[in-house]
Amino acid sequence: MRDLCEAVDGLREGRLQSAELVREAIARARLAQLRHNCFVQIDAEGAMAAAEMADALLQGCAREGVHPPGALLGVPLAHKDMFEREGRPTSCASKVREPRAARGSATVISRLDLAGAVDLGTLNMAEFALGATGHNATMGDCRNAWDPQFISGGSSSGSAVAVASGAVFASLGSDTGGSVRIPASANGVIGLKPTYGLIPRTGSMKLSPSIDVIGPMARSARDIALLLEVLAGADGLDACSSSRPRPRYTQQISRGVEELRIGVPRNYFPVGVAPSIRSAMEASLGLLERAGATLVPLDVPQEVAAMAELSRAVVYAEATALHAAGLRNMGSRYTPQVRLRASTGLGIPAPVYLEALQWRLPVLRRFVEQVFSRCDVLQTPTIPIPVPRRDETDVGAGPALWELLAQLVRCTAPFNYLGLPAISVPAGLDSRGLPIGAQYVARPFAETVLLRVAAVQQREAPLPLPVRATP
Amino acid sequence: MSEPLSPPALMELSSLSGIPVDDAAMAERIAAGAAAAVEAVRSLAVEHNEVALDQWLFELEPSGYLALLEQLAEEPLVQDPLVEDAR
Repeated sequence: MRDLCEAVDGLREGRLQSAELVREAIARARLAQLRHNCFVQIDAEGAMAAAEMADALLQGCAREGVHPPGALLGVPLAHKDMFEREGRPTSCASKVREPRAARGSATVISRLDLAGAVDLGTLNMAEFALGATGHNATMGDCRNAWDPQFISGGSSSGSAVAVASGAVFASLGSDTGGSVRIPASANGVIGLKPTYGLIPRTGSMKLSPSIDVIGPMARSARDIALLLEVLAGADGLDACSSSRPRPRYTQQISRGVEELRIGVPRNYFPVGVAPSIRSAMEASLGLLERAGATLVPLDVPQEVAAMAELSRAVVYAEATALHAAGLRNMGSRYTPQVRLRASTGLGIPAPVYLEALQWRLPVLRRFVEQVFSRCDVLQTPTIPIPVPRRDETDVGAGPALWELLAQLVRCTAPFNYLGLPAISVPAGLDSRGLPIGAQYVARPFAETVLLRVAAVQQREAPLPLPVRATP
Repeated sequence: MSEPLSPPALMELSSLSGIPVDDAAMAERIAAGAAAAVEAVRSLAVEHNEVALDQWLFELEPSGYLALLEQLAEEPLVQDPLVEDAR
């Protein structure tokens, strides 16, 4: 089974049964849990019951000659444990809060339910989504799908590993500084950070409401397109979600890249990029050019160098405010690194936080006008360094923390500040056999362009699943 | 480059807000992380001082961020009724 779309087609055409798919998924999830610690909970019983209902519905529709309802009917998925589901506690991969059953479901979970997806369980993550490596002293580290000695990336660590290891076809994560794209890159799957406001966040854990987005991860660009069709669009509850009309992503994806201009930054993004990553970026550009795209070398505005830190001024001020009650009353229950990071807003004066929010408007306008007047898509590495080992990066709350974070989010966090859509696409393996990801960025709400580029890159240079996850 | 808050200053802020910081080492690391962010805001303001006070006071509204993203998108699309079928 290659991807989610193939599973959907197989189920609709009667070649597959949901129960069979979910049984296989449970077996893989258990194996992945042993090797990689990517799940918080596997709900085998609930998933099998949902699969049997999906099969009954599919068979009923086939008998009546009716098109089955729901774009994802019978397909097993699992998500970062930060989205509420009615009746179930949401751990946020932390032991700080007492478990409390949610009173309702997050909009994204409701939409996936409505589309017929089968929920296989909840996935590991950095505690409260504060961590870019996949380390978690409370739940145990989530380990890379290709080699457990290496980091999974974070904070949506379990999401990327569960998809890469074949346990689920797709998964939701969240991205506030790179938390979808970094683990997607490190585990060789596709991860989309949509435009701020495209997917409503009602019922999902907040880290920094001015920056947070929810994003899907999957094995193919067409899977991401299908998920976007299910997930995108205002829900009338999240005041920061856009009512802008949406395209039919699945119909746009096969348009190729012939008339697209790919921007190749000459400044900021190439600095400090490891040679193996640089070669992979050049190879990706080469295949896009051969597919008909035009490469446009360009300079990005100088202020991009400050954007990761500008983003941090917003994120830490908001995170400290959100966690203030927890830090005051249950500070010792936080893991040391998360407690330190959640307290960092103490050092951000309120006027500086508000100024960082003010600056976002002129900075965004300048960036879009200067860059996207010259190109349709900008390419950068997702992570500028080779995937590091877990033991080398287990820095806790020690002095190396800020430098490590700065390195990992150097290419991703600027686009969180700007709110622009960005996608990480597998771009080959390094000499150690670990994945490399290329990041593509576009103007606001131009997700279709990103998906077209991702589809071409994947068609021309497909990356298999990790050997041990292959059936 | 502005200096990070000193650990005693950070601990004073911690005491005022009631958010505990254990010791000077933790205070120093928090201050170091925050200082880089504060410096980024300061240096941006210095670099782009052409954004006049009037713009902040009358024109730019941080809550207009989503509207700006929508404005900077390509041409508005016509809603495809089939999009709703995906759910």
